[in-house]
Amino acid sequence: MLNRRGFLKIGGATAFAALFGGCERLPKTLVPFVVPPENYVLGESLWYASVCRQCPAGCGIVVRNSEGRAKKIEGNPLHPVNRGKLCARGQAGLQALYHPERLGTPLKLDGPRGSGKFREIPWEEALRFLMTGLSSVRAEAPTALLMLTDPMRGHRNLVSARFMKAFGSPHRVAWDPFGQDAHLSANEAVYGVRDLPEHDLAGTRYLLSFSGDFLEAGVSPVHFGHAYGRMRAARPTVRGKFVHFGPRLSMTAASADAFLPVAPGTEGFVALGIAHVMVREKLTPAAAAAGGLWNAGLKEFTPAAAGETTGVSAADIEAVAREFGSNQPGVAMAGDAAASCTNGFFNLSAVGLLNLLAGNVGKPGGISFPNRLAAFASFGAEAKLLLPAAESGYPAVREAVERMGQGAFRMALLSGATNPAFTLPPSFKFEEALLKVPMIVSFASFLDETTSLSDLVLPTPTYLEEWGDDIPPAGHGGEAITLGQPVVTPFRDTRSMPDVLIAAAKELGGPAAAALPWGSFREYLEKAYAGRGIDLVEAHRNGGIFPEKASAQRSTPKAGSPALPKAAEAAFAGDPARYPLLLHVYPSVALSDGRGANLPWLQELPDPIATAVWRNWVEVGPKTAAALALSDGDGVTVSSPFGSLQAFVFVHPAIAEGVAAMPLGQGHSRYGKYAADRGGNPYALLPASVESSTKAPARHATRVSLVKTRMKGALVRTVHPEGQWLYENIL
Amino acid sequence: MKRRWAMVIDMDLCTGCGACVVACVAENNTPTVGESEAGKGRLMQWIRVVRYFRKEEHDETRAIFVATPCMHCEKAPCEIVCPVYATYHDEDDHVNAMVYNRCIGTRYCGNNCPYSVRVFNWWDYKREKPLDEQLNPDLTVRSRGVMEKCSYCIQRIRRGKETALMEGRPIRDGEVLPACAQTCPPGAIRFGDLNDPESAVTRMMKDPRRFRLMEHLGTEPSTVYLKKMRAQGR
Amino acid sequence: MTRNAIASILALATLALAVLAPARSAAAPPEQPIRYTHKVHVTDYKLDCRFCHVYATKSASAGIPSVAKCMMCHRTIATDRPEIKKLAQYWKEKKPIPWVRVTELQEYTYFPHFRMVTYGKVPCLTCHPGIDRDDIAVQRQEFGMGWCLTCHRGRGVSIDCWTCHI
Repeated sequence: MLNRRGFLKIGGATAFAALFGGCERLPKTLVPFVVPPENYVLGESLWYASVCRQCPAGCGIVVRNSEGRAKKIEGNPLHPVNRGKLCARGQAGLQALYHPERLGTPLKLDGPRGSGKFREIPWEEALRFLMTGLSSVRAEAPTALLMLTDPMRGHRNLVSARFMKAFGSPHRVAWDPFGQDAHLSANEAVYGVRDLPEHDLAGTRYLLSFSGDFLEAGVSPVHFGHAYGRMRAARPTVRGKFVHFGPRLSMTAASADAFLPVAPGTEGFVALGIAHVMVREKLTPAAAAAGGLWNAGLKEFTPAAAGETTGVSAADIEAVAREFGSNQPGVAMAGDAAASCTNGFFNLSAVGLLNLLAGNVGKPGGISFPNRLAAFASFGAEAKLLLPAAESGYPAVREAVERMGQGAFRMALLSGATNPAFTLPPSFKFEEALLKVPMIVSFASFLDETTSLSDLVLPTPTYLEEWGDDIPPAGHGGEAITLGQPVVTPFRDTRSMPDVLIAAAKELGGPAAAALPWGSFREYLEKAYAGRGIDLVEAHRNGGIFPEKASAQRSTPKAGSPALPKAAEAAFAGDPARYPLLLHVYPSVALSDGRGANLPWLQELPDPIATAVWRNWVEVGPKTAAALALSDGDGVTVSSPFGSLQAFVFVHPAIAEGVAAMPLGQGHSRYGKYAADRGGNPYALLPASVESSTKAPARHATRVSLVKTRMKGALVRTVHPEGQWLYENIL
Repeated sequence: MKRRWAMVIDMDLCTGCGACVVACVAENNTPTVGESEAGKGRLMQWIRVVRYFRKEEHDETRAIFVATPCMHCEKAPCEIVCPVYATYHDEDDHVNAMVYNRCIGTRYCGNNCPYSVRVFNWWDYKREKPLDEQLNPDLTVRSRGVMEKCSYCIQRIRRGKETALMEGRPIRDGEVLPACAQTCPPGAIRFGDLNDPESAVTRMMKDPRRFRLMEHLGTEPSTVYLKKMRAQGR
Repeated sequence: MTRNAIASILALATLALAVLAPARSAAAPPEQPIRYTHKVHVTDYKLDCRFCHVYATKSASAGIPSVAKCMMCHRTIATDRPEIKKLAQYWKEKKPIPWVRVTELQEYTYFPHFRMVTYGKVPCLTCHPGIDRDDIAVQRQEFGMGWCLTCHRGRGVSIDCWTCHI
């Protein structure tokens, strides 16, 4: 029985405890230096320059290090690609460094194969296991070793290449779902150069974009974002005009002055329609001289004909062509959605033709082909390995998967963020094939769908903890080299892949040891750059080597009248009666191709157009939605002939009708708690189709159906879809 | 000399990429709230990119992005309603200051803000180790029950002032940049001192494209916008 | 109310107040790993505060002297004393000395030493009174906001909230 005295005692104690509970005092122990570093003021931060590896663009970064911890990443102002700017994914790199689920010890399979159940083992045991595998494969069948990575460049690529060569296996495959195969082939056909050009957006007056979401994804979003800013604002009397043709109003298209929806896969016909008008009306000197082209068949590609195929009106094609022709210098760009159709080569060649007719190749405001190999000529035969490889590797992956299925491989070394088990089409049956390889070793910082299939996982440092060099694929004159360095001391027990390969080669002995004769990758880098007149310490301080003056451009040997690209229509799998909509998938701004899905900052970044967070969605236009009796927010099952998933509907007011669009990146099953189970994986809807000329992946080659389904929960969006605020209300 | 910080957001350059959002989150120790809290409208980002659809030329629907940080109003509706003076107009820098220790969580200020830029810490958001190693030591990590909002990266302003003081010179234009302005790839966000007649923002204030959000409310924001342009006709 | 009840309440209240008091004014000085005496170094040997607390003129934090700084003199001076032997052991093992914090500010305050020291020319003993005569360092001054404001107002420096509470 509680009397008054007792109650007050308890009451007082509770109050006292409550007041006490919230206090967090400053740390009790003060730890000084043993020997203070020179030129260091306590509390001041140090900034280290390095390279960002959150996407293949390879921007230069500087990272704030405060008392040994990385606090903030910023763009490196000295770097030619991004000039001190950085995108959301680059900023989120800190969460990859300090991720709670980052691998810190080697893992060995502790359950059924492919189960993703591991136990932690020490490095000695892990390396022994690795060496046992490598030695026996080397002794018995060296060609039975497969290395499957993302496209590498810089000296780490050299290390991998030398290792495989000395080992005796030709099976080194690099997979990038967003490879630029069609671009490379089209550029070779049109300009005579098998490379990616630089687009001088800052100096152009007219930008024609064909399904190119270059401000949000693509080869170098920050570079293009910065260049776009300069196009609009750096010249006092020129703002430039930007016209975007594409299947949906993307973030990039929203910045365009004119957005013209086109049916997917028909970009080439739009371009030919524009070319037709340019040549017919002799709008530019090059167009005036293109009589051969006209007679070869361009005269058939009238705007009216184009209008029927593409959904763009003839009047619009005429108007854009006239404007493009009379507002030179102008530049035309084609993007991934145009490239990854079965007729991608045609689409891109037609767009390339526009640059030829504009006469802008090698001129300011147009495109140019820097001599990317010139910077590395002194590296001799291996120079090409240092450069970015823009190919997707699709045919090689296909072949590798077939071989895996046939049991041709005894061991596989996997690395890279492109996650083939997540990003390859389901008909590849990648997981099944991979598990036929008796020993799978992954080099990774996180367990994703692919690394979870391994027998052994070797933890690698994140890019913020590694030495390395990198050559950006675009955004510079061709000779910039970015140098990466650890911005913090690696604090997990990790070893980089080149270091493990070097150590493995040493132990294997023979030609392998001779091919990689250094103590560490860092030692190799120092040797590689020594004696080239480069002060490596100074270069690291700046973040790289950025020559002011580029070497001469590569000349474009193609002279004479341009050739007419052979027209081809895009093919889409699936019976239109059963699957009425064309599927358009795009890398999301936050999650890219899926690698950003485990970072909470990126999951919580609202999509620019859909404004959704933490989940994906499917977009259809209002007429399409009405025809399917769908409302905004409904749950649907999206099915293609290859797979199905569930998603919420977002009725997009500016998307080509008859198209269903989905962002890529969600739908992970194994990538940590922030990534897992946030919707379906749109990669699983995709066909294994190929672009006809290059055998690159044709992602936009299937139809889908949307069927209303009951789904739990709702799509969380920051902008309310209905009755949303009107822009006029905030003015 | 007192400063009058202002921000100019050029909507003609803003592409809506959201780099500013994540840069601000990284700089200012902003918590992530998760899907269910986000569903209740409790996202904690101090700058947000609001997407409007509107019908433009040829009756076509187009999107426009409005990056919305705190307006730092000269006549701030949030300042006059706080019962404990936790938010006030800083005299040295002319920014709207938020003092976390004083805040008692009435949320009246957030209610009164017409731009909805104030966010409230509904919970003590857990930062799983070692994600907390990334926290910026230059500013407070807020606990449950306090309001927070964009501060024009006051910690960077302070550092800029200290550096200038130590070097015995005034702050140079462009030296102090909030995280959003520093990272914006097209350079849409500009920041500077209006009391400096040579600064970029002083010049941009005279731009005929300049407008303020909900100007008719008379809040006199320091964050101003430059109208988006669209090349007409085809 | 019974006397017992009053007594318990008063006891609890006093206990609460004692716990809540922000500073341990003249409470028992914290036990340090080495019995460093300010009295000998500062009063007797006239070492300037800034000789050891080097960052006080440049940084927000004054810093605690590094082991190397102590060894500057104590490589040769008084090497037979037991406390110096402890110091030498730390130096030999290249381990930092885990000093225990003596002076504590309120939480959520930003206090830049260099502004006080270099620009404000505030003597160290204003905020750390008596530390020059201490054998074991102890915090005597309670840093209540009112105390800080009195000086700030007196000198005409900023009393803006954000000056100290970011």
